[in-house]
Amino acid sequence: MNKTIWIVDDDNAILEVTQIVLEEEGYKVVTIMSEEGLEKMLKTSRPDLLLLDILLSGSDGREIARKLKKNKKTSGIPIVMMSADIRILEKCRQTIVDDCIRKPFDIYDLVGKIKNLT
Amino acid sequence: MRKRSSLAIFFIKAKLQAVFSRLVDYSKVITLLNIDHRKTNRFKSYIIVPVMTVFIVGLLKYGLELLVHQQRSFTYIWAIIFSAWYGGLWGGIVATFSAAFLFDIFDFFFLKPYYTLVQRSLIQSLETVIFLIIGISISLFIEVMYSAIRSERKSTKLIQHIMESITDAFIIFDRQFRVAYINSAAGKIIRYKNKNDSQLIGKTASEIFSPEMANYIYRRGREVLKNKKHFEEEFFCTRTRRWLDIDFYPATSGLTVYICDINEQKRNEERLKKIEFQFKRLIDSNIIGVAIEEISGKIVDANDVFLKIIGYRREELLKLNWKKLTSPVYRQNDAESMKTLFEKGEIFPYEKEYIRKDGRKIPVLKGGASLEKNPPTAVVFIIDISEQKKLEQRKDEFISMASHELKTPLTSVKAFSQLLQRHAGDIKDRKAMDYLSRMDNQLDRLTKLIVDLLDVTKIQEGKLLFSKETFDFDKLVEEIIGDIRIVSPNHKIIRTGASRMNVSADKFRISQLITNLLNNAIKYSHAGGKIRVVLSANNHNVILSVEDKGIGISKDNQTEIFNKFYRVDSPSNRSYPGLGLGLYISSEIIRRHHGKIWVNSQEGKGAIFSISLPATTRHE
Repeated sequence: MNKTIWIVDDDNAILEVTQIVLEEEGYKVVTIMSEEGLEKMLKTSRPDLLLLDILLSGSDGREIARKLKKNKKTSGIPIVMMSADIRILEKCRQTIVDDCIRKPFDIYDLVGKIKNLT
Repeated sequence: MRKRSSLAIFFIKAKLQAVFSRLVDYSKVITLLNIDHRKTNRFKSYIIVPVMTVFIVGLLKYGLELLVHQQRSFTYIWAIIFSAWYGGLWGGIVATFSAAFLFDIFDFFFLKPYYTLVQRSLIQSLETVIFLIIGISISLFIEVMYSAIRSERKSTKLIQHIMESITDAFIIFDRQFRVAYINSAAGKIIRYKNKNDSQLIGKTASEIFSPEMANYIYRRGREVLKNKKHFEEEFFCTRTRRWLDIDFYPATSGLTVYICDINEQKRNEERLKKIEFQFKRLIDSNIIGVAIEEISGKIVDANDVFLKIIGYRREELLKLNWKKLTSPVYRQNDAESMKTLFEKGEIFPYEKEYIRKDGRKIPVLKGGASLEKNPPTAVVFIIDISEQKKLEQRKDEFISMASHELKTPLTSVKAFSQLLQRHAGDIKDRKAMDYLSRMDNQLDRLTKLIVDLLDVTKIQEGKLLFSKETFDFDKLVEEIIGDIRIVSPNHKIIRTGASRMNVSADKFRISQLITNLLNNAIKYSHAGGKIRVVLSANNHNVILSVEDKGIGISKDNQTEIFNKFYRVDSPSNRSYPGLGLGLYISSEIIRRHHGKIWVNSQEGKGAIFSISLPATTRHE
């Protein structure tokens, strides 16, 4: 069965291209543009992996990740963070998330990291 | 504040001015008498002159006896007086005895030889004794008088000498305002009407001085003589255009005037007043905060801006201590800076934070200069930089935002280009694959430029943060070389040696630094060139050298290349891409890790860039 990956980012182009890349790898992809959208989705289902951007308009990806990891229901979801700021990313990796990837990323890198976690 | 040639003169002047007026009267008499003869020839003074005088007087007496009959004692007394004056007490005594002897010779031997055998009468002997007593008494009296005059003369000379040596004018007038004494400095200070006037004694003030000066002396002098009180005043002489300080002292025989040139002092006073005014204006201008601080922490004075910055009232100022006003984070740095200030005399502006009365922290820029040594006091200038800090923060946010915004489209472009590349691979379109691969490289370059710009901004603001971790240095180098080999397959990278050390550093930044050096080696050497990476270690440091056979760097450029935005002009005029930031960022990273970076190179023969970093532990 195809694994489901949710991508949370506020940039349409990134969502599109990531969706294409991951779908080509055989994943089922859901794109989400905001924290609210993510919360709505979580009420009904769970992804096999969450690809989460740090700098979302209106909210902080790190906070979202922290909340999800605290919550028993969602703490099992592997989270990969994306950010343009390598420093923030480094700090995230050391604490809350399972892996992280720097923007702009190499698609093979991204696929590799995701495969490792699913 | 009055200038005096010296304190001693000032003292003497006050004490002796009364004596002086008395001396003026004597001096006229004294100058007629010569009193220095005794020193030159004692034998002459004590023996020859007295004997000769007595002899001459004796001859005169007997020569003129037929015309004027005189008592012998009365005649010889003149000889004794003269001898005593000339030869002193001994001269007088010699003259007295000579006269007594001559008297006997003349009276009993030469002129009346038949009496010589006759015994002298008692009365005659008594007469001789009385004569001797009178003669010695006269000698004694003359000697006492002589000593008195000599000492007077000496002190007069001394005072005259002092008066001639001082730079202030000293003039004694009699009651008719005729000059009784004037020292030589007076001419320089007052300037005479007639420059070459050498004979000033006896002339009136109006004959010597300009009408303005003379009139002034008359007017004030009369007042002083009338009131019999000392009077002092500052006077501007329009002729010489100088400020004078003039003292008038009343004396029994006239008036003593003491004039001191205070022009320089007046000018200094004016200058000082001006400086004081400027200083006060600077402080009161209330453009920046100004405070006077002592090394102890006491704030002696401050202007309104300073008070506004720290939020205290003026009355509370004396209770404050700049050490305690400083927020704890900055206390040590502030104390060190203030120490430098007191030691070196000044301190260039540095940043600190004050804790306001309301507890709020306020960022300021503080600089200062020392004022006094005892107690160590300094004037400090404080500029409130809260606005700048806010702006800086906004700028930081902006840069961080901008770099994020720039990277976002880049992310999708890069991903699409890679997708395209894969797609081209699927359909075996080699050309498209090649083009897209090149495009991908350029996208990486663009990404790196954005990262570099962000780093430079952070370095400038001192905000390049480091998070240390301990890692295997050789392993990191090997990983980086591996990555670069993939990106630049045309260059041969050879690694030799090993450090076998762990370092405690910011791994990300160190790899950025090594990548930078390797990328430079690749950029500046020909395709297919060899690049050697040499690892080694000494007791405390790991050393890494990156050696290329590229264009090299001239000696002139070798110190400059670590500067921001500096780019080497290549001899072939070939331009190399980049902003000139790589080595600047690298040297900043190494500096912050307490390491070293250096270069050995010869133009056209390649370059060796080396770094050394403090190592922590050894491993095998």
